[in-house]
Amino acid sequence: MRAPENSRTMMMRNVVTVVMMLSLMLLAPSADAHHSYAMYDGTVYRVFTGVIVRIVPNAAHFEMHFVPLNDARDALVRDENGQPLVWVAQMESAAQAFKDGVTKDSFPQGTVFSMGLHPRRDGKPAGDRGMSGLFQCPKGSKPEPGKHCDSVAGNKAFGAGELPKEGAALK
Amino acid sequence: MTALGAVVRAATLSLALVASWTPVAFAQLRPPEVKGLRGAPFSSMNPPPEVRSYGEGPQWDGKPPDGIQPLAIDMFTSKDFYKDRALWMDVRYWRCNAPRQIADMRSGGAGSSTNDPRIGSNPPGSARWGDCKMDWPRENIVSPYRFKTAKEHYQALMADAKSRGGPTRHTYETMPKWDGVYGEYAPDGRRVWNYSRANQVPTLLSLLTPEYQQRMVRQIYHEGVNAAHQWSASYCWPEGFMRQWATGPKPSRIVVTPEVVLFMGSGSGNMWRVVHLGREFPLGQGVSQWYGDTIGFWDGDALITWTANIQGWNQHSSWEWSDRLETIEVLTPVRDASGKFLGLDWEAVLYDSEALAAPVRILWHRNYQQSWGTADRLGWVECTRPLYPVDGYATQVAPGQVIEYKVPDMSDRPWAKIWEDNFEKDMERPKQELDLGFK
Repeated sequence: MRAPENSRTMMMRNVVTVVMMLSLMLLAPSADAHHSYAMYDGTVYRVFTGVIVRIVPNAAHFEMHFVPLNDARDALVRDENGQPLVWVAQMESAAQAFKDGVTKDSFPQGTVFSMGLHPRRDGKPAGDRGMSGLFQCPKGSKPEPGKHCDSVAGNKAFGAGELPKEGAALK
Repeated sequence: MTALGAVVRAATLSLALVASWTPVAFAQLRPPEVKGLRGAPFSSMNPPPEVRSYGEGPQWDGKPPDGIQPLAIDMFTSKDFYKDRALWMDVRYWRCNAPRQIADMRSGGAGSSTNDPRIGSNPPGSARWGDCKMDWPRENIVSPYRFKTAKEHYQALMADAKSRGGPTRHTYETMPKWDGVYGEYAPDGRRVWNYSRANQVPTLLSLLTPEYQQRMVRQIYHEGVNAAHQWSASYCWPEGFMRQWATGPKPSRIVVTPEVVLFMGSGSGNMWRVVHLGREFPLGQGVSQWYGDTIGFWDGDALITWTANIQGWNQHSSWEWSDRLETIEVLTPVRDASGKFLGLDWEAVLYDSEALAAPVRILWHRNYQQSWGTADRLGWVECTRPLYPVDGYATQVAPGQVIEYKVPDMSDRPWAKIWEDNFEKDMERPKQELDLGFK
């Protein structure tokens, strides 16, 4: 019995997706693992639009330190003491980041960008980029309230992928 | 009579040894000069002096040298060094102590104690004075060359080598045989100025831009007044590039090949520099390296290098440098009259447009000691945390003890944050708020 056309199409898409991901994994520059990723909740994405504090390219894994913007996109998120709440985004290997054009020069302090993160399981302000896309708002611009940089005209993508939806990572 | 004779014979032998050794040693710090490019002699007083205590013992607690009128307020009586900026360039503000003397006020030097600490019996006000007459001339430290950037300097050295048929391309057969183990030449225990022992504080401050003057003053104050030394090795932080010209890991081993020259060493950490011969920048991705990226060429038997892409960092008891630091280094072999290889005159010209008011120079000598074939192994140090910052002090903590620990931002001068959090609450520190463009 033949599967319905839409089911077959979906299955083919899944197969192609899996093959592409495996190919990407095989082709990606090798990176020595420096720690387990078990601290991150890979089943969940949180999506941020934030402002770069600094890029840390010589960490064991490339890091971006940023402060999220509020939903209105007009102010920094602050901690209970009123200080900007800095999040640490664990990125891919430095080699891959450079290949994607992510450098100290392309992401200077004050850059507004959007990215999804698998957050730390304990709720602390850090996460792993996972397969999320990374979008930079044009200099001097910011998204409309509740939106992200991928919605801003003239935005720039760094590497492959789209912004995930807030919430569950697996569909 | 016999004993006296032995003493006389020993003294005579010592004098003879000193007399025969001194001229050679002094010659070692005089590499051949290529006018305007390398090897410029010091204007005077070579080697540097060491700023010494003016008086030893409790009777000298807080007592100024004869003829010196103390300031109404100095670093040891001030509650806020930021307010004293107008006094920073007066040697009396520091009680004529060299920076390293101030760092060692409560100890006998790094890793050793003393039963007569120079901070005196009623610290910090009882801190003792140094010798106000001792200082190494600033003219000996500022670069004697006309260049504003390392790139200019390197290109000029290259052009000079080319004008004489260079650069030299050595093979395994012709390359200089420098492989081996090296020590530091320190005549009478005197070391190069970057150890911060040879100068009054204002002389070193005069080499820096205003922001970096403040950073150095801040460090000296917290080491001398609060005994809050934030030395990198205490916390297993990286030592950083400039520490090779102070008490950090030094280039104690050298390997020479036709393609690269390696400088290696270990101590409070590891240092590992690779001179890429005949190459151009960049050598890799634009990520700052703790010991930078180095290219170089041979000019006969002299090695000329250019190092860039250095990670900005800190050296305790001294000055901070920025990511813009670059160096030109010229290594020239020294031989005795018989042609025997004695070691390397090592001239380093430092360019840092952010930290330094003008380029500066360090000229030191590495004594050849022995070959790799006879030396002990070169160890590799993996630092395991010896101390933790507790209330702002580098503190030993016993296994099992629970402490509160604030994670430092290693990309944002963590030493400064410790001082800010623990010792500067009542000071009027110039505001340096994080400005991300949003409220």
